[in-house]
Amino acid sequence: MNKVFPFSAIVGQEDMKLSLQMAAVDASIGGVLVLGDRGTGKTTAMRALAALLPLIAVVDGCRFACDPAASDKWCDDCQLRSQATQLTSSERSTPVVDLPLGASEDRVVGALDLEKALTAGIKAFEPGLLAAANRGFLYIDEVNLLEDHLVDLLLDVAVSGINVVERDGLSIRHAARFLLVGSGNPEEGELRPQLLDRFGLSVEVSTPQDIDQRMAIVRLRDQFESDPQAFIKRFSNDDAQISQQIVKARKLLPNVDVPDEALRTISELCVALGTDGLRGELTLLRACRAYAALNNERKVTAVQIQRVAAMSLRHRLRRDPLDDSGTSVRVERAMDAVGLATA
Amino acid sequence: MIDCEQRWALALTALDLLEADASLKGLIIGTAHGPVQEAYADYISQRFNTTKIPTSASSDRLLGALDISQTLALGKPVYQPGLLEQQTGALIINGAERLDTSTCSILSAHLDNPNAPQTVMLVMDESTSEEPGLAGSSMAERLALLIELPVMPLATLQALVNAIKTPTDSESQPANHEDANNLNVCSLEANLVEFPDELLMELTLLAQRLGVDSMRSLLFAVRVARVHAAMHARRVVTIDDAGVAAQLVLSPRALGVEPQQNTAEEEQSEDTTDEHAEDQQEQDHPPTADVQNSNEKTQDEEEEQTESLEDIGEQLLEAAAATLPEHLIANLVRGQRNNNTSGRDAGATSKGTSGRPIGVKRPRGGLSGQRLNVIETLKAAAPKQRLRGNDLSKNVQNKRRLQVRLEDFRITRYKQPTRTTTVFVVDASGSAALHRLAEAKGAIELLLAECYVRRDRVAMISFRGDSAQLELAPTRSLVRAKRELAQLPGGGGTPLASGLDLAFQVVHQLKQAGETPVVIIMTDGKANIARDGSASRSQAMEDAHHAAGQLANTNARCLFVDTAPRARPQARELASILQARYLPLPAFDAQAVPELTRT
Repeated sequence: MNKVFPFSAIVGQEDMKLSLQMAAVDASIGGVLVLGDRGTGKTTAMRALAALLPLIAVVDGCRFACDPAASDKWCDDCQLRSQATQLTSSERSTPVVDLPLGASEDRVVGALDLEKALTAGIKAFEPGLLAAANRGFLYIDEVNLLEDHLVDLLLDVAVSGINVVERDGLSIRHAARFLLVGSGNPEEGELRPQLLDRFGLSVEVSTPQDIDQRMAIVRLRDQFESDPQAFIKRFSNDDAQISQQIVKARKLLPNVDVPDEALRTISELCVALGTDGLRGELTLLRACRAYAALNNERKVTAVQIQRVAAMSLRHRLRRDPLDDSGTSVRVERAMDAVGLATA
Repeated sequence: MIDCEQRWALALTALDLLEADASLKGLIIGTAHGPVQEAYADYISQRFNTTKIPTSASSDRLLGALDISQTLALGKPVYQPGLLEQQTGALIINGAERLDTSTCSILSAHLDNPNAPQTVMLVMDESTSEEPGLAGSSMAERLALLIELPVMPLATLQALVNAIKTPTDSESQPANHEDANNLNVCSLEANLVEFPDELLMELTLLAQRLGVDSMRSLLFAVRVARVHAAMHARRVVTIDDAGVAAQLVLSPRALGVEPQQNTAEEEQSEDTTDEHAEDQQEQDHPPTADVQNSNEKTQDEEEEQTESLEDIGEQLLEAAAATLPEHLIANLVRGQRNNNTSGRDAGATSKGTSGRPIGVKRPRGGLSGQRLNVIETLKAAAPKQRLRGNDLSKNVQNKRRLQVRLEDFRITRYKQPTRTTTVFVVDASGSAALHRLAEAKGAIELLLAECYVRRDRVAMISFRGDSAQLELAPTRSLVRAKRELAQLPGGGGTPLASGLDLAFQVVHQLKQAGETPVVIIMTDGKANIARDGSASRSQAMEDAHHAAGQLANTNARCLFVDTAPRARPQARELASILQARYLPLPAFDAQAVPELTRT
């Protein structure tokens, strides 16, 4: 087991932490896009969250990490094997898969297993990164520099939860449900708006400028590196609490009620901002629900909308070359316009 | 400034630090190719068990993959381990400025991976000041130490090299060679070192004053200070250790110095002898103060400028809200794709391993990181079996496999989408009267926003007085383009021919690089300066026509925006020579501006 910096020990970056937790509660929110400077704890936060999530049960020997409880969704391998023998399962932590920028499509979606093809003459599928990320996190650093066709492909799979492979004479589909987390620095090139829109949440992070906060971060990190075990132990209670909160929220989620007036406010907000399509409304709705569930509330009200509107909508605005004000500012302005007092 | 000797000593300290604790990840050495670099590399190979990583290494080579030729020859899987799987020692990368983004990101991911083997990365960056080096890249961010080795006189170098050799031979430095592969000597001790609060505070403040925002760098600095203390068997981090950390981690990454009190400067006091540290604190001479001071000045100037520029930028945009039809560029590009008659297939790069598959080809000189297309390979091998004495009908008894040879190998060809670069050629002469110029700038900004959305690049050429300048080399940064536009001065003659000539050069270069250039010319077409700089109207017009013909020959798609208040036949004629789409800017209407800005 390697040492992961505890989630609860991360100082600041509330938006980023919240968005990751919300996405962990409700996967249908879609991916999280984290934009901002280097060295702001993006990677740390994601790995930390994956580490505190409850262990997942996995069928032993399954390359796609099938859930032993959901036999109807098993991959072909598991279906076949289950007829012959009783499948065993074990628990493991949520996987985190890094997708490097230069990764080829073969590597991402999987391809013909060359080893088996050449030595045994068997047509077999060699799973790619998408299979490895099933039921976990897929992290892409500098997603804005990733080639467009790969981003397209990833978002497609992220939304459908199924990876369809039609190549090398193979025709295979397997489950690939993962939380897509992209990060990048907009100054080095931006994502196309079509792709931006497909990320559920978008948060901006910046390096803390407050000297005390910086000190606190350095202190904590330094303590962690000097004695990881003790440090993790110190924060294990807090981490367990967050873990509990997420597990509870997942259960509560279907019971969170969205009254008509809340839905109306959401729609009004989206109209005021002129977001294209209905994706904005849907994501905002889901995000509100997840946020309510996280706070153990059963009803979506203006409070939730206020908190999550910016991160759900900020990346769906039309780029207006004549308006240089930041997108968050524009969301706030729109919230004022529809009568949501900003905190 | 610290001198060569001190820098050299610092570079050696850097290696000591890496040897002491591999969690520092590595070192970037900025140095020109030459004896200094060689001497240092020599020394590295004495100290570490090194593995070289060529900059051209493919991902297969880095991460490990199946060796196809061997596998086929032996009939069993032969796995070729990746360079990054090296378990101990140091990975050396020479000429790191040539690393491409995908290799960089693989290396970055490797550095981020907590389960990766404990190797350190020693990176030689040979970039000069003109070309962008590794600094600021995601990889540089993940390596703790940075140092520049200056060019020094050979005699000095010789003395330094001898100096490091002598102690190794004698007993003073305990046999380095034996623990050459034993990294992490001090990493446990380093964990136990105490770090006083005020030093931590000072380091944090220093990082902020130097403009080093990234927390990663600050954390590395803290770690370096710890390890340095542990190396010298100290229980508590001293100002010395913090000083080394500042020199090796923070100051090389500095963007400038905030003009503030000088107390934190003491941090950087340069001491190599620990005993007299306290005494020497007063005579501090910060290592890179000179450079930083000059940086500071330029940064301040820049800030002032950008502030006022933003104002101007706003005004310009409002002045213009340009009256160009929407999606102009999109149409232009579409047009080009349709009548692309130049048969050059620049988009399909032979090396590319990404993009849309467009058939197969034979790999040249073996598979270098490319993936075998098995089915096509088998198809290629099948008809040749009899020739190879491999009668397939008898194979059943002999159980012989299909014979596949190197010549049958097929790999998939990919076509990468060609990149479009829009070249703006802007007339900034006096005849393009002032408000017209503003309007043109506004139009460009609108077009730029569109370019940006489609991830294209923009370049800008302006011509005025007696020559043309490339104001903006092809870039994707809207922010930079905006700044350049705002700075664009106006006035003077109209050297149209020079402008078109320069456009021709740029277009030619872009075509060579396999990109699709689109040219947008904004002028009133009233050329009055000839190529040789003389102010002859007729000669200027003739030259302009000639230059236009040349540009038209490149087959680049052209848009000619006539900025004259009233459209004239000359401009139209020029546009037809250019085979450009002709578009007169409608008369400037002050009334329409606020309305346009509102929508």
